[in-house]
Amino acid sequence: MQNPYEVLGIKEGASEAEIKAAYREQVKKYHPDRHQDNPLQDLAEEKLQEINEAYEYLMKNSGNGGSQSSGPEFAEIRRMIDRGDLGGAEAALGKIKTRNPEWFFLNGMLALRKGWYDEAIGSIQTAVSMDPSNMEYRNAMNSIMATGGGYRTQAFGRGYTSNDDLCRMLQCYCCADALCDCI
Amino acid sequence: MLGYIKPDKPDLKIKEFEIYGGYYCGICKSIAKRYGQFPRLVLNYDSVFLALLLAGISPAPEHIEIQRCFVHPSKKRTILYDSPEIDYAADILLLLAYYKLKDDYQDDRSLKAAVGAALMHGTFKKLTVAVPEKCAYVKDRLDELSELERSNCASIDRAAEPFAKLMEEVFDCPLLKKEKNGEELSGLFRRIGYHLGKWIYLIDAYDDIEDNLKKKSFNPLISQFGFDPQGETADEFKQRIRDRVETNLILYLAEIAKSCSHLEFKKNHGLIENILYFGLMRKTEEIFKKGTENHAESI
Repeated sequence: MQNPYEVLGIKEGASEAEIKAAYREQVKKYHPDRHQDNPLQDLAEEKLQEINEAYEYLMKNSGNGGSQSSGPEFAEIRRMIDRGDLGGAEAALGKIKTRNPEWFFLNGMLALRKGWYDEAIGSIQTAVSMDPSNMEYRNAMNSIMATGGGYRTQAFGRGYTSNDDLCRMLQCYCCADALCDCI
Repeated sequence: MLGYIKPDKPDLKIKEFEIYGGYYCGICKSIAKRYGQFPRLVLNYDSVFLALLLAGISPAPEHIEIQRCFVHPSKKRTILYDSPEIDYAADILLLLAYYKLKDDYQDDRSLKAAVGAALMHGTFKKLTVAVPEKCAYVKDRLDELSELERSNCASIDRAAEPFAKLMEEVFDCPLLKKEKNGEELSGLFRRIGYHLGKWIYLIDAYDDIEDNLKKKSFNPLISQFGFDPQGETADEFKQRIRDRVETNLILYLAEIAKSCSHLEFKKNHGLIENILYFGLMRKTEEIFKKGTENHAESI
């Protein structure tokens, strides 16, 4: 996931009013009405989705480090992850001995930012199973899975097919091509 | 890099196919001109993707020629000349190939690799002048990687990190800094490199499972998910971890595609999209089909 502050084009630690103003401005810029039947339509839609995600994320975690935090040390770790201070967040998480659901959740969010998706999925999954009623953990999990689904949809939307017979035919084609360069 | 990054040929336009070949031959010619004939032998397709991306965002026109080459004497080929992006991709290809040969020699004491590495030593010397920071960085990451392999690292994310970092660094081409939005471009190329590195590392690990089980050599997937020699066959093991591996691979591809969508391509756009959405996806699917019964060798 990209840094939500960067997506909205604001400084780390911006106030709620600033976030809202930046969000409104960006939405206007990428609004689908402005890009109808225009080659940038797809890009604008994608950008808009990113902006929405970033805004939602910041709104949920604004104020005193998010309403869900079960202690001041967790709130601080949330802020570090938001700021992009991944090393600091990792060190702080390492110091905490009690591994409650929030610990696993934040460990997963940290892994996500690093690009360690396997660890992210495993850790957030642990958080979800320890505290199944927590919507924040569930939403995070769903959003990771949706990212992969989005890529597949785009590939299929562009005409990707995974037909087996076609594959075999194409293998023959490639072989023939490699052998005699006849095609 | 091991030849995983390729376009999906049937979906290419003929024009794109020619240009793709032109980049491939361009890299080969660039090596011959600057380093002599021998290093041309290590040529592979992976480096073409980097050249396509770098050249794609540059507004400079291409210098294309159609001529004969003694490597393929029968037919005239499209060749791209005088491109700093191609020269850079060629340097990176040689750098990685040199370390690959050294690594093969260390692992298997292969004579072929020893001779190859010795013959490429001169080329490597020149590379330490052409791309000095990259050489030093690549060596450090590969040392880390062999350290992790020796300690039998049981996390695919941890094991993949040195190679991903290596790819992140080599994708950050110094030419990008010359553009006016150099910082932003460099960031996007780094993200593409990092995730491509993870994709290559993981797909290669999955592909090597049988081989590593036979030779009892390190494989991060075997270490993380624990192969049970009494309870399951290699195929059953692969089936067991398949979904998890696939989820990871697709997430890397999603991140690569997203970063590419922020780049403004002035050329090569169709080719790059083909590789991103068809070529890499096809390879990902193929790796899971291999060895399963309904994918018996058809030819």
